[in-house]
Amino acid sequence: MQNIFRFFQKYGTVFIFVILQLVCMVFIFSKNNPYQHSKFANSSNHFIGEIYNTSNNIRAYFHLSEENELLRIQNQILLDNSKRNRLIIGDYFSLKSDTLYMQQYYHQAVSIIQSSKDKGYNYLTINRGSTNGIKKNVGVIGTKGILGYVIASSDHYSTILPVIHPKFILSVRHKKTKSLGLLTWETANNWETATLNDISDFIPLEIGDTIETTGGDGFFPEGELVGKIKKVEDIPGKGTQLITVKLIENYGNVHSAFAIKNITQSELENLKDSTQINE
Amino acid sequence: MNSIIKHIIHLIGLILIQILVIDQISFGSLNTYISPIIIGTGIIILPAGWSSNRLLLIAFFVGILLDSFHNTLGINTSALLLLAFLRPLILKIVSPREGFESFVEPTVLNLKIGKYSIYASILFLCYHLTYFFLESLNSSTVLIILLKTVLSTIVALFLSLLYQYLTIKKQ
Repeated sequence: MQNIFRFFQKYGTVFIFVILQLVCMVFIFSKNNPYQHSKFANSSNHFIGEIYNTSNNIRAYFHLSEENELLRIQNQILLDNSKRNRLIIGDYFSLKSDTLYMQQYYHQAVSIIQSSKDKGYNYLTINRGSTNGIKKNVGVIGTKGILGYVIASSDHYSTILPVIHPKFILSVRHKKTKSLGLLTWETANNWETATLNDISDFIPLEIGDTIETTGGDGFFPEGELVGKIKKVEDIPGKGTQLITVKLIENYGNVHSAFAIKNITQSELENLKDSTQINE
Repeated sequence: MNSIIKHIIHLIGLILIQILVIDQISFGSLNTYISPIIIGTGIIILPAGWSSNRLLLIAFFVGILLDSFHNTLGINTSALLLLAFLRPLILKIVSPREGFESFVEPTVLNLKIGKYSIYASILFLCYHLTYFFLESLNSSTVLIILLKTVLSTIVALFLSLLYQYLTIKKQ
């Protein structure tokens, strides 16, 4: 018994150090799956969200003019798409308010109150949470293209898993040929680019081609911009190409964004779950 | 009691400076390689007489708090624990032969800039090495991690000197 006491007297510090380090390792390795992300210790926590929000309220003044410019450009694109600017040249046309159409996606304007882009694990935090109906798997787009999707939310804040995170995976497609690929990101890419895999080597790709979302995952509507092809390499013997995509959204400068609520999301998830059971 | 409150204020202040100022600084194209974390300063300047167990517990709670802000649960904590664990050993290198009085704080003003730089840079080096290693477990080559570590340590050392010259009065 005395020996045990003496042991702890001598090596107690080492003992505490090892135990606390083990706790850290549990955190680190369970965190690798963003869906097991802890409920309390992240930036969507109420207290931490408040601090980031206050600091953002002050910093927001410094980039108001850039922000205005971005939103004006976006408005211009939307105005160009408006129906009143179009001439009807065929006999077939449809109205947007037709009862055959049901609105599937709703946009909600949100502000990004915290962002990181140079770390191995990057996250964004937005100033809306579950009281505004933002929950897990809600997609978020910036003023130019996609940003990521929500992985955790509190009452008033949410944490977003952006494209520039190693655990991000999204099915996307090449706009011209509609061929599907998987968009991922590694630390070796910096925050301006991502990697696109699984496009067969017989599909002609050119530098500058647009990559867009498929809409099949329910996070984003079909055809939302992701980026442009920057580099294409053949992987010998595998039959696919390794594509570097220049992301259209500039993560160094994201302040306003839109959360996209998909009202058929739960339907889609139920369907996915039931197919998995059948397998 | 007075010194406990003082150090709690230091630690909270350092976390706020870290997330609100240092994380927002842009180093241009070098940004990928320089991401200094100065929270270690708070542990480095705790009084020399405080026991290792106490340092470890403080490091654990401060680390969890900073991790919550960075969304990196466990990484900062692990690095800060290592820093707190190594501190008594490194402090021995720079202390006089008879050792420090227990209330002496190993700040830049008490140690003088040469000794403090040796003491703090070793600890910051360990901190950043652990941090960048855990951050990029399965990707990133060793060379990039080392480059990041060295550059970030230099900047962090400079910032920690600046912090102390601005906040600590000469005793």
